[in-house]
Amino acid sequence: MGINLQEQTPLLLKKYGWDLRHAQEDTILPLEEFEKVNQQIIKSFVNGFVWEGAYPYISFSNLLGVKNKIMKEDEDSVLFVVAPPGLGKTTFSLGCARFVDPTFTNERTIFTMKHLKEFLNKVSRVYRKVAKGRENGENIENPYAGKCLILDEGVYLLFSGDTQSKNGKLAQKLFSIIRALNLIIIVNVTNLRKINKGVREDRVLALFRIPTKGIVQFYSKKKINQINFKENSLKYPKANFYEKTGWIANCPFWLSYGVMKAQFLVGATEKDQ
Amino acid sequence: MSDIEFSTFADYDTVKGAFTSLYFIAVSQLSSYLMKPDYIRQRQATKALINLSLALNKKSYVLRDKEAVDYISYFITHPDEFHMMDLQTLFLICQNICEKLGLTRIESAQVPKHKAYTDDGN
Repeated sequence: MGINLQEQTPLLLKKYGWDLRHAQEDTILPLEEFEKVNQQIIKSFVNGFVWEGAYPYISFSNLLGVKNKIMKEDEDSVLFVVAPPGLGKTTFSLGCARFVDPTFTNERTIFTMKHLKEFLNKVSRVYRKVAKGRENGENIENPYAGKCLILDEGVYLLFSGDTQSKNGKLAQKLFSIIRALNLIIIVNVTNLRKINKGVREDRVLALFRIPTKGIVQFYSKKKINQINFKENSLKYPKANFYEKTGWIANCPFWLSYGVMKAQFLVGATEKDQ
Repeated sequence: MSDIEFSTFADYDTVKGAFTSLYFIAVSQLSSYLMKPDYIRQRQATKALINLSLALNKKSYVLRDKEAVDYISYFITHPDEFHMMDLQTLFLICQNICEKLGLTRIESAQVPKHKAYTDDGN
């Protein structure tokens, strides 16, 4: 038996020194769960959406669980994606949104408070229609059940104040709508310290953290409560799991996101002038 | 440890103790070799790793990785062909087996990182 060490060593070194660095027995996805996620990927990542690189299977599997929880129970919680700017928060959250909700388009990515208010008005009207229909004995289906919404850029500051402030009241309204219409909300957060303690402790169902580009860590509700907030820093506990994640290719979906973002930037700079 | 059968707790403790002491000897010899590479330290590290590999060879199937199993077997028969990076790789494989058997925690003993594996491979 002969082995070419020059060939074999780099391969095994990469595998055991890097790929399996944080692998744990309990983070290997059971085969049937893997199949379920795979089927959902085939169903969701179509119509101009192309994902490249590694699929974050365990995160996606957890997202399916979160979706089930939101659909079945009266849950009014949000999902946080936490990372410093430029590490792929939006990419990951767009991937997650598209995964749980195949009908997700960039129109449901919200950049500004104005946009959020418009959206809330729109869904409130729908909710009123559904509620009235149900009162009259009609079986009107809730069109927003299981649909996903992303709060991007500065909108996360919505959760920074207390409930009495203007933003706090809007956040309260958002939570009641989430509960009434079974919406799944993903919030992109750059600084977790700015989020109100009450929201952090009670309203966050799960937290995805991106420590470096291409890596995602998952924190459950229990782990989120273990995050140690100090005066100038915060210390995360060991994540529930850790895995590699890919990116969205240069597809029509990504291009339309670029257009939306450009519109937001133009709006923001016009306001400044 | 689920696939190793023991009649008494003392048995379990002895075997676990033997594995862990071999593992920690390998950690210390390899660390010393990686910090100050020379021929004597290489011999010592190789020797410690041979002892560890011999002990873990029967259990290497837990990796479910044929290439890694072959790599260990090849090391046992041809230790002289293994140099710095090869020894590091072999140690990482052994560490993974120990981890899978529940014998040690990776955090409990870290060898200095070799330049090649601090690259993220992306």
